Parts: sequence; C-alpha cells; structure tokens
Amino acid sequence: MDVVFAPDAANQNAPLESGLGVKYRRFNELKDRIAALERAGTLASRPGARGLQDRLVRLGLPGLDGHLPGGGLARGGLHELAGEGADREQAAAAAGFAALWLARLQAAGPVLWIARAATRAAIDLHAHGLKQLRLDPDRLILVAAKKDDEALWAMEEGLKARSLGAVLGEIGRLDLTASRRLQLAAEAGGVTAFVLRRWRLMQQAAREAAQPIAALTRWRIAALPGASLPGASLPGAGETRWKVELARCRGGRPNAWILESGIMETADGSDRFHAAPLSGDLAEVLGHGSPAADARNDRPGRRAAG
Amino acid sequence: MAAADPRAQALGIAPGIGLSDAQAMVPDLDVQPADPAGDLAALHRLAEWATRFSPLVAPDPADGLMLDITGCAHLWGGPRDGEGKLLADALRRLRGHGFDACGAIAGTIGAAWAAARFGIAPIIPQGAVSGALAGLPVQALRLDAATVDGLHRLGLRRIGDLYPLKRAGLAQRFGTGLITRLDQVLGCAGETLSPLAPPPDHRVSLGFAEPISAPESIRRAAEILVERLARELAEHQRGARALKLSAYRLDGAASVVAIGTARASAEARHLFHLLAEKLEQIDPGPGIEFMSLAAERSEVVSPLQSGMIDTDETAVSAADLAPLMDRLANRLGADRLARPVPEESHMPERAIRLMPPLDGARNPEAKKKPKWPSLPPRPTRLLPNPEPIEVTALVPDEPPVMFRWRRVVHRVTWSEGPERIAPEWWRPTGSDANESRETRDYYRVQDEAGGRYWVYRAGLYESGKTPRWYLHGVFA
Repeated sequence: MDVVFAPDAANQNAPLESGLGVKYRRFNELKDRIAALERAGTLASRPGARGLQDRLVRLGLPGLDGHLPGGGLARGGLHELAGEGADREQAAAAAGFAALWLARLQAAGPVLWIARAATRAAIDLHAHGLKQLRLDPDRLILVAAKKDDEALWAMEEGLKARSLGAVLGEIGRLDLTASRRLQLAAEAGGVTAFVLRRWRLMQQAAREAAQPIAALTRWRIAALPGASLPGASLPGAGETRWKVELARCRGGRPNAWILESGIMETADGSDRFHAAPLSGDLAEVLGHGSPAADARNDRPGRRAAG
Repeated sequence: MAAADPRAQALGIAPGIGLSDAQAMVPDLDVQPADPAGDLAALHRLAEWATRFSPLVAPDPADGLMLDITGCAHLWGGPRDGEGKLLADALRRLRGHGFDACGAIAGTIGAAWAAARFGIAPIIPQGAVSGALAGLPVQALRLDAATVDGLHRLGLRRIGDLYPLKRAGLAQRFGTGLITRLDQVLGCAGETLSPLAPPPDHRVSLGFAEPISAPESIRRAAEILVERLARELAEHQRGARALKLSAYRLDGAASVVAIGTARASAEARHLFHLLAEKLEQIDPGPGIEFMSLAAERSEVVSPLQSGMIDTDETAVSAADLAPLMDRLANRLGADRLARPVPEESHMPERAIRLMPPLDGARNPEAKKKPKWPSLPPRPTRLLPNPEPIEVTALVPDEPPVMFRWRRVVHRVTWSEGPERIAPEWWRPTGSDANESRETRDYYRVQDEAGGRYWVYRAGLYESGKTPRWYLHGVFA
C-alpha cells in the first residue's frame, strides 16, 4: 500500500501537520476508537473480521484521507467516480483517480475492470497509461461489457470472489435498486466496488448525477489546466492536475481538493508518480483566485495558443 | 437414377438406370434431383442424434452409421440381452423417424457392415464371424467394383470361397486391399472408427420414461447428470475442462450446449452453475427423451489442488478466480476477458496484447512475469481506432492550436512533442491499413478546460500537402 512520495510533497504538508492537522488527527484517532468499539460486537463475530484499519484504504494524502470517515475510503463498499464536462464520456480523469485507489487495493488481490466495449479488442483502456498511474497491469483483469446490465451482472459476480482486490464497472445508467445490490454484494464479500460513470449526452449526465444511489461516496473528477511543478524546468509541463470533488459521503461532509502529479522519466529509467495535495477545503480551492485560473493566465505553456 | 423407393423398385426402377429409361417405363414417375451434399449433412445430423446410444459414432457415407457400442449395451439391459435391446431400440426409433433402417452388431466393423447390408443374423457373436459370413457374396467385404469383377471371373462369389485360398496368391492378383478387408472382417487386422467427435473422457446419461420439456425438468435432469459426472471425475481424480450436454428429442434432433472451464474442475456445484446459464438455450421441441453429459476434455487434478492457492505473483489465479472467470466467459463469451501483456511494438495500438486471463495457469511460458517497458507518458484511454480531427496549426509542421474532435472544438493552451513513432521495419508492408505503415508524430496537448489529449500527425511533414491529424488517446 505504500507509495513513494516526493520529499517536497511531504514538506508541503508539514505546516498542516503542526497546526490544525494534529488536532484533526487526534480527533480522527478518537473517532476510530469509538467506531471500533461500536462495531466490535458485529464485526468480530464475522468470519475473517479484521481490524478497522484493514477495512480502510488510504491514498497516502493526509488531507484527503483524513477527511474521510475513519481516515480512509471504506473497503467492502460501493464508491462512485464520474468525470465532468467534456470528460463525461471518456471519464479519463476519473479513471486515473480510480487507478490510484485500485493500485492500493491490488495489495489485497487482482482488480477486475469491467469496461464498456463490444469485444476485448475494443476496450479503450491503455495498460501502459494505467501503469504510469502505478496500477499493476499484471494484476488487472479486463472484461468487456456491451451494456449496463451486463456490466452490473459482471460486477455482482466479481464482488462474490473474495480474492479480488476490487471490482470496477464502467456504467452509464444506474438506479437506486441496482446500486443497492452492488453495495450489498460489496459488503457481503468484503470486496471494494467502484462504479465509473460514462455518459455520452449532457442531459444524461445531469439526470444520472442527480439520481440518488446507494454509494458510500460519490466523487467528481475534472482535469484542470496544469500549474507549475516546483523544480520542473518548464512551467506547467506535462503534469496531471485534477479537481477532485467529494460530492457525497455517507457519514462525512462533501469537500474538494486539487491533486497534482507529474510523470517523468528519471535517469535510471524508472518513472515516479508524485501526488501533492494543494488544498483541503472547498472554499479554499474555489474561493479566491483558483490556481487553475492563475495557471491559465500566467503560464500559457511552452507553445502558447493565440 | 441415384435411388429408388420400394414401390418404384417394384415397378422395375433400379438405381443406376437412366432417367429417360425410367420415365419410359413409368411415365408419371415422381423424380427428385439427387442432393448428395444434403444427404451427407442429414447423415451427420443423424450421427449427432445417434450419440445417444454411444459417444463414438462415425457417419459411413452415403447411407450408413457406425457405432462403437463397447461398454454401452448394459444401459439397455443385462449383459446378455443389452445389445439386442439397444439394436432394436435404435432401429425402432430410426423407423419411427421415417428411415428405412437395417442394423447388425458384430465384433468387427467389417462384419457388422456386411451383416447389416446383406441381412444375416442381426447379432454375430464373438468367434462366429467367419462361419456367419461365409455364405455372403464377396461384395460384403466392402470391395471396389474392379476387385469384385476380378473375383467373379475366377468364380469366387462367396466370402467362404476365399477362406481356403493362399493369401499370397490373392495379394498378388488383387493387391493388399482385398487381404486387408478380409482380415478386418475376421478381426485379424485392426480397424478403427473415425468418429464425429473424439470420444469424451467421461460421459453419463439419463433416459426419461416420459419425454420432458419444462425448463425445471431439464434443469433437474442436468443437475443429476452433473452430480453423477462429478462423482465419476472425482473417482478418477480428474477435472473437466469442457462439458457438452446433449438433449435428444423425440423428433430425432439433438440440442447441444457446451461450456468450458478455465481450470479442470470436478466440483458439481461449480459445473452446474456454469451449465445452468446455458440451459435456456436447449430447445426441447416436442420433448426430450434422453440426455447425456460428457466431459469432452478432462485433466488430472490432485485432491489437494482444489483448495490450494497459487503462490505465483503474476497470476490472477487464486482458487476462487477460476470459477469467476468461467462464469464470465460462459455468459459473456471468452473473447470478452483479457489480461494485458506488453508487446514489443512501437505502435501504441499494438503495444498491448490481450491474453486470456488464466492462461498462465496452464502455460508455463505465460506464467513468467511480463516485463513492462518504461515509456514516455501514455494516455489512460487509448481509442481502439485513432479518430481523424480537423486542426488549425499556425505553422504546418507544428502541433495544432485548435482541433475539433467529435464536433467539439478544443483550444490548445499547451503542447509537448513530438514523440516520433515509426512502424517496425520488420513488419510486412501492405498488411492491413496503409495508415499503420506511416511514421507518426505524437503530441500531448492540453485544452483550455484542462483536458489532455494525445494527437498525432500521420506521415512525415511534406510542404504543399495538408497533413492528416488524428486523436488517439485521452490522458487522465
């Protein structure tokens, strides 16, 4: 589950750790203990019950992980990820964000990714690209599903296989009943489920986003224009930058963050993935002069468009 | 005339005479064009149906079926009268379907062939073959016309006439073909059937007193068969890799469904689960009177294996994944599942090979951890087919400042490249599309909204030519 983080990314969190961060951490520790006491009776009686810590998965970004109930994303539950705007159909940024979680869940077992495609050759995922997001392609099984009902069926089947690390399904239409089935299947098998929403039409995107579903968390991920990476020779060159919005969270509050990463080749040929949380609060991100807007105005990139 | 029915034969119409002769003899003769291909196809269908009596059925064109009933007869009765009952049952059913059928059982293929066609005792016991056949004409040896003529010229008309003759002399005059046929009939030389399908490793069957057609009855029958087969497999320490369920219908048709498993399994619950998905494809027609379930392929499994968890790293092979893969493959199709493996190719669309997910489990070569190369940034989404885009570029050999993809205009604010990707020289030219033979200059571009795309210009830049641009992928 451990990921290599750039030292500067850790330093950026240092001020947060010393101030409010400590309070939050202690608060979260207390919440953990209360939750553990509350669940002790029901969980311990289940076969294979593990500690509360094992029931969570963390990205390794304290600002984001700490905001989630218990201090991480709940395993054995359903989580929704969706793209926004022009990315609503490809959901490339959401797929990338999913890959971060899945990479960490791969420690528990292989990941089943149910893609929207008529045949396996038509699957529009690129394993080399996923690998650069730290997802291990050797522990990835792809399934091509033509329609939503096929994908939902395959997800439910997958969630019964306890040796899987996670199951992700690319889904267009999802209603409360179908999502509840997935949530129950995920809970029963202890396998973490993700629905990655793909919507072709704007109206469908709006309708589906408003549809209540039985997911523990609902995320919206949008790509943002790049800002500068400290130390990068060219400002804004090539990094991945997302606005990650937690729209709904059972037992928690909505929030939003900006995640930034750079993929670069190092001298020894190995690539590294840096993730640096730049902000914690929705207000902070969207309020006064978003970094995204700054980036657009100040650093148009190497080859500026007219 | 290729064939004539009994009533036509009674009027003197025999196969072999000319059409005009026949019509002269019987002016209102009903003549149908011969359809040898159709007859052969019908014979194969009949052979499929006949697998209800034995899994080893070989069509014997133009009008025969050969069944190896070794070990099958006991299903029809005791060890002594089982064979007779089987034969009677087969002939009764064939006649019931409108076929004019004769049959015989003998210890050798040749003897059974002769007995069925030349009408001697329907069952020739072991050891009585030479006596039983002695009186039959030499044609009963399955000889070509020239050999039969030659024998006739020598006055050898019956099979029995050949017994006292010197084999060397016969071989000299008629070639070894005659000797071989004689030996085959008498059981001195081996002969094997070329069955429709290779014999299954294990097979169980179930007959019904009353024909069944309700889905729940079919389901229950399948369940019983699976349990029996699983027990049989377990006894032999084998697991099924491919199963075939055949439902034999009252009208002589057979409805067949097949399933495959990623790993040998003898677990009744798992096998039935797979089969249950397909049961609705069985068309009972007027009713099913007999069902069989065969393990077409099986492999040795050690009793330990079922509970063992694979320890190798790459594999997607933990014990409960094989059943999952089977369920997915049998419902969606095996071509819907994949495990990505890196392929040594520069062209992005060929840089990944999609392998069957559990292949590593039985193919030691595939078990090795594949080596993933370190590449420049690659998109998360790669379109299966690059899509043409309209671009605006300030300078022709530079990346675009604007492009239109799927009717949406994207203004480029940042770009990086080119990464030049040339097709491999070792690949043959002119294979599929011309496109793939061209050098591509890939750029990573970002639009105002923050979307990052992978676009390329096809072919090297040439002045005076409008470059063609494609969008190939979307970055996360």
